[in-house]
Formats: sequence, C-alpha cells, structure tokens
Amino acid sequence: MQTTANGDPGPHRVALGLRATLERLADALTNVDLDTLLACESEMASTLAASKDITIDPASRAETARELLAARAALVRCSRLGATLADLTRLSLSAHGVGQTYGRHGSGAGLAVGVHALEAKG
Amino acid sequence: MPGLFSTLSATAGALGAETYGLDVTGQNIANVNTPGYARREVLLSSTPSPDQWTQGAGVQVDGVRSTRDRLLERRLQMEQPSVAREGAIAGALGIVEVAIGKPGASIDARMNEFFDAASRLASDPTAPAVRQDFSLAGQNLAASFRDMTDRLSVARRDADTQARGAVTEINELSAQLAKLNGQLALTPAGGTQSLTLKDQQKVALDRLAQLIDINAIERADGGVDLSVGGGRAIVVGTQSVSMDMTSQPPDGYVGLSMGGQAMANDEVTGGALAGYLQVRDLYVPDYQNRLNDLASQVASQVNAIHTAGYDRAGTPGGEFFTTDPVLGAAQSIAVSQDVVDDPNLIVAAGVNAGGDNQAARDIAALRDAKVMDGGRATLSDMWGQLTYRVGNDTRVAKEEQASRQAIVTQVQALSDSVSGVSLDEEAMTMLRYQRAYEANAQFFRVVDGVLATLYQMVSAT
Repeated sequence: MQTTANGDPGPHRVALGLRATLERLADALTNVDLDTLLACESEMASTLAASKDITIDPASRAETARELLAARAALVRCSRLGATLADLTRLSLSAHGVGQTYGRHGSGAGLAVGVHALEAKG
Repeated sequence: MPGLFSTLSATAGALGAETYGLDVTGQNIANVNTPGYARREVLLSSTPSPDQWTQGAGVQVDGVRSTRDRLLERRLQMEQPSVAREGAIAGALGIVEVAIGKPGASIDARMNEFFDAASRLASDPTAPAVRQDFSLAGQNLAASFRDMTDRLSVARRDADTQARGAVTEINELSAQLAKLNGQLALTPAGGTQSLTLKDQQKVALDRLAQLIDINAIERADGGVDLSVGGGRAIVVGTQSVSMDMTSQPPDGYVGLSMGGQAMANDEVTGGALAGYLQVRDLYVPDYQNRLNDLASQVASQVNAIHTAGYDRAGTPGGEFFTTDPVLGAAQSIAVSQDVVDDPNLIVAAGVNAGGDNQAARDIAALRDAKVMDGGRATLSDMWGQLTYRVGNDTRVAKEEQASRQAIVTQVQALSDSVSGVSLDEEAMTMLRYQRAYEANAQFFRVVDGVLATLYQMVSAT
C-alpha cells in the first residue's frame, strides 16, 4: 500500500483498499469462487494492519467520504451474501443428515431434519 | 452354457440401452437453453443372469431421472419475489424520476421565472407589459403544477395497469399449475412424461414467484399446493382459486379479493405485484401530497400579499391564485380569471398610493422566504426535497434489487456447481466455502469500526 508524505497510508488509501477487498469478497461470494474467497482473508488482514496511525488528508476529504460509503455498502453486501451461504450450508448438511462438525471423515453428529428458518432474506 | 443367440440378445440389449442413453444425451443438449429443463440421467442396471453358467444377460434401462436440487430450487423461489418487487419499484419510480424533471428545468424553473417577473413588476409597477408578463409567469407556474399532478396520476395509473396484468398472469399460472397437478397424478413417477411435466411445473413456479410471494407444499404425486398472502390457497390439487379484481372508487384502481374476501395490500409482500401496489398506494401518493403542500403554500403565500395590497386603480386586491380544495391545490391551481382578463387587477402596491411597489417586492421576496417545513425551508427547497426523495427512493430500490439479485446469482451458481456431484463432495465443498467466508467475516467488526472512525475523521470540519 502506498503511503503519504508523512509515511502513513492516509484515510483515502485505506478506504480504497478496504472497498476493493470487500468488493472482491462480495464478488467471490456471488460467483462462488473459493480461491478468491481464501485470498481475501490475507488481503483484509494486511489492509487493516495498514489502517493504524493514519492522519487526515484534507485534499481528498470528499473523495474519501464517498469511498467509505461505498466500502460500507460492500460490507453490508458481504454480510448478506455470507449469511445466505451459511444458511445454505446449514440446510444442506441438515438435509444430508450431518451436523456442522462434519469433516472429511464424516464424523459429524446427526441432526434432526425438520423445519428450518432461512435467515438471509435481507 | 450361453449360446450364440443369448450372446447376440445381450449385445442387442446393450445397444438398445446405449441408443437410449444417446437419445437422452441428445435431449439434454437440445434443451440446454430450455427454461426449467433439468439434466436427465439414464438409470442402467445389469440384467440378471438366467443361469449359473452365464456371466450376465447384458444391460437394461431402469428409467430416467432428472438432476434437481430441490433445496436450491426452493431457495431461488424464496428470493425471486424480493428481486421482482424491488425491480418493479425501481422501474416504476425510474419513470417518475424522469417525469419530475431535472433540477432547474421543472417547477423550480417556473417558480424562479415567477419571482423574476415579480421583481420586474416591482421595478415598473404601472407598465402594462410587465403586468402581462407577471400574469403569464403565474399561469405558467400554475400549469406546471397541474402538469406534474397529471404525470404523477399517470404513474399511479400505469402501476395499477401493471398490477392488473400481474393478477391476470397469476390466475393463468395457478390454473396451469392445477392442470399440471392433475396430469402428474395420472403419470407414473420417474417416466419421461413425468419429468417433462416437472420441468413445466418449475417454469410456472419460477414465473409465479416473480409475480407474488408463494408458499409451496409438494404433494406425494409430484404436484404442488400453493398459497399466497398469509395462507390463502390458490392451488389445491387440481383446483385453482382466482384472484378477483374490482375497480374501487373514487379513482377506479383495482382492489383484490379471493373467494369473496377482500385482500389487503400488506398481504402481498413480494413479487412484482407487491411492487406495483406499493408504487400506486405508497410512493406516488406521498409525492402527490408533497406537491399539493407546495402548491397550496405558493397559492396561500402569494394570495396573502395580493389580497392585502392594491391594484393599479387603487382598489383592494383579490386572490391572484385560485385553488379547489376538493381537487387538491396542485391539480387545480390557476391564476384568477379576473386577473387573466385584466392585468390591471394585479396588485403591486402595498399602500394605496400611485407607484408603490411594496406588494410586488414582497412577492419577489418569497423566493428566499423560509415559509415551508415550519420555517426551515423555502418553496424551492421543498421542491428540491421532493425531487431528492424520488431520486433516493429509486436509488434504494435499484440497490436492493441488485443486492438481492446477487443472492439469486449466488444460489444459481451453487446450484450449477453442485450438479452431478456426490452428496459427500457437495457437503465438503460447501463447508470449505463457509469456512473461507467465516475467516473473512471475523474481520467485519473491525472493518466496520475502521470505516466509522475514518468517516468521523473526514466528516469533522
């Protein structure tokens, strides 16, 4: 991540980085792209690490505010899509008669298959 | 011992099975773009050996099955009503947004022209041409209010027409699904005909889910029973119940009922029908009320000044704008016919003295007077708020539609990706996706906090 003259990344660059990562994460969730999903974890960690000790850049205040709002929208989208994915997994596993602890060797405890609430309607 | 004939018979049987398999594959390829079509698989089994010396009597076709993931199909049918509702709202409000016009080119422009004319009247209160100009500016402003009211009425009427179309299609689809129920009950399960009927059923259900939120209960024979609006049955076995439409006074908009019982709008919470009803009964009426308030304030503020002053002959003034409280200010506002006929009746003077222009100056000053929203907004501000509200409602609906569409796309992608995969592999794959998401989700709270902090920093002045 590039830094300002002071050596810190600046709120605008942090906002840009967070927005880009969250948008990629939302796309990965939408398109069911496991590789990108996994890559986003380290991206988000490094972006957050770079967000410490930043100072205000008055020149890009309005632009930064726009990026922040867009990043917030992307975060909401990620949460919503992630909730759907979690629901689908839960229901799929339940329908297959296995629980959340299901692993490669099929050690999951059986779950009663009953009526399920879908919680990701937004 | 196997004889030549039995070997040939087994070979012929195998060829028949392979040919059947090729037929099914051809069907799959031919229907690759057919809505609702699910890929068919041929179920083969070895024919039991007739005696202990024979290896087997070849292969036989046990049947055909379609690869459907009912869970994901149900999920898609649950999401589609929301996507369709937001899409209907976004589409209808997009038209309203265009009708409202761009800033500076609609009612706000006519108001500015009217106040400009008042300023010119203040500069030269006795000139006949200036008086005529002021009268025309007032007529243009009134006409723009009436025109905007008509446009909003047309938007409501359009939404009503689309709601009627949606109800007609809902009735057709429910009748079709009831008929399919009857056919499925008479068709052996697992047969080719049964699979085709299920394909048709899926297409009808998907379309119905786009029109209204439905609850579907699958029957043992493959049919489906459907209810809408908190439990009102529309398909039970081979019977379908129509949604009836009646025109309601005073505007003639459609009212819905089923089995003689009226349906409230809030019973229809999803699908395009819900979107059209919300546009017709919530969004546009709100805009109409705001437009009425604005027109009413324009008329009353101008009239208050006009009736307190004196016309060119020194006679106390009458009303400049007239309105009809029954029709509503925005629909009925007009310049008084007396003023139109004789511009000398326009009030420019605040006192009965030749050449006084106080009333004209007061009217011109209304441009910047905060007379709306409890003294917090000017007339132009209120128009700006109305246009902002329309734009914002449209934007929110579009964003909601896009967001929900992303979920549908996601479920569809999952449905495609799990096709033909064993249940174990499916479960493992989904778990990997979930774990990968959870790893990212651990950061969400931190991200939210960072965003909030940054926003505070850039918002601070």
